[in-house]
Amino acid sequence: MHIAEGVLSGPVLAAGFAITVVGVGIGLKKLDFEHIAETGMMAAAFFVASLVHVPIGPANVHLILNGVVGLLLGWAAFPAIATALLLQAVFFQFGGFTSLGVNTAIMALPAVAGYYLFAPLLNKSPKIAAGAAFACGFTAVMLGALLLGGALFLSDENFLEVASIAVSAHIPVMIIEGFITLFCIGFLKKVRPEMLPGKENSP
Amino acid sequence: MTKRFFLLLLLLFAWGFIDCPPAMAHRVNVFAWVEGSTIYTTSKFSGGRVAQKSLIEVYDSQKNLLISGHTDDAGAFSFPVPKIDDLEIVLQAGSGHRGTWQIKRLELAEAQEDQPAENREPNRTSSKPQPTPTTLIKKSKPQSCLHSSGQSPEATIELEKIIEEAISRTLDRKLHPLMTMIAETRNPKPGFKDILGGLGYIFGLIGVAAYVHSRRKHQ
Repeated sequence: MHIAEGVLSGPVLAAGFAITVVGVGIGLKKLDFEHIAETGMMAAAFFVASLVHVPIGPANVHLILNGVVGLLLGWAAFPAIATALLLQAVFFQFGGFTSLGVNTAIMALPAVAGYYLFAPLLNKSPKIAAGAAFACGFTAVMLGALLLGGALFLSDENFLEVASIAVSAHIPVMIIEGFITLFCIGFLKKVRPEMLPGKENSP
Repeated sequence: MTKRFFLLLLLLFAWGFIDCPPAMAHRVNVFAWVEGSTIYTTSKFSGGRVAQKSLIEVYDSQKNLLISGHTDDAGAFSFPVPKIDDLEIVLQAGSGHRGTWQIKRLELAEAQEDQPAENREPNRTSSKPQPTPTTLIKKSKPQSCLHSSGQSPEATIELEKIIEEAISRTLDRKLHPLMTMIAETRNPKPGFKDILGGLGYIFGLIGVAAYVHSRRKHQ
């Protein structure tokens, strides 16, 4: 889900940076002292997750974890993901510097969307909470794939074609991330319920 | 955070190490080299899978498109040298995957010099009568004898040309598997140091953020 340098057109890159700057700004503003360590740790998890390749299907895909990151961090997912992507660009040459804004937007917007859609459901009955956790992991990846298709489309590629390729390539990842989110949330519910959204004052 | 949460992260981290070697891709690499009058390329995702049926475009230093084509099932694509210039070979492997490789003018100029004019056609195994070892010997024998007794400079140059041509052709043939092997092994992927370095930065940033926050609290 990392778009390389030189693929996208200037306006798309600029729009990506604009979204990312706004998102990181909101995220840092909402980030309080108690959540710094958590944000950093999710950034670390996100940073490493891209190295976990999912060897199912014909495409080259990897874990993204933007669902879990979004669910636990809310808007702080933006600074966490932007940092992790910057370091991936520096150390792994994944993506690139010019496409950093777009890549952050592609992965962090679904994270924030997942937070708003599914976080309120986590305090419902265990069944609903489990379903919401799975759905969050699943849809965050799917939305990311759609945004990826959108970004490529705006830079002159056939949207239906690229989007369907991106989404179908990520289906195994969607399912796996759904389960990862489900287990993470279930685990945190037992041992650290205060880490979950809704059990605290601010996202 | 609890110990258990750390454990969970650690498990994830470990999984990354166990699972990452076979293939991971967010990068696609294209590697190109010149042999005689042909440029060979091979394309791979970072992790080892070849980039099949991917678009390759060749640009000159003015960004004019010279050649485009698709890689075969083995991720290979070759074409005759289109122009003596700084060439940029761009691989578009779809879904935002893009890799580039530069071939410098100098490299091409040297390779072209090695090849005499009549040999510049893309197909090196043409039906044109190649100087066989016997003709070489025939030619070289009198020349080497005559050389001391005042052989004309044209004949010496001619002889040098023939030898050079033969050597470069043989070298190309011998080096081809070697270059292919180098192309196959050239596959930069994140190492342990990169991963630890990145994690170190993140934890360092946590420290910086905590410091800034604590200073604000005190003020």
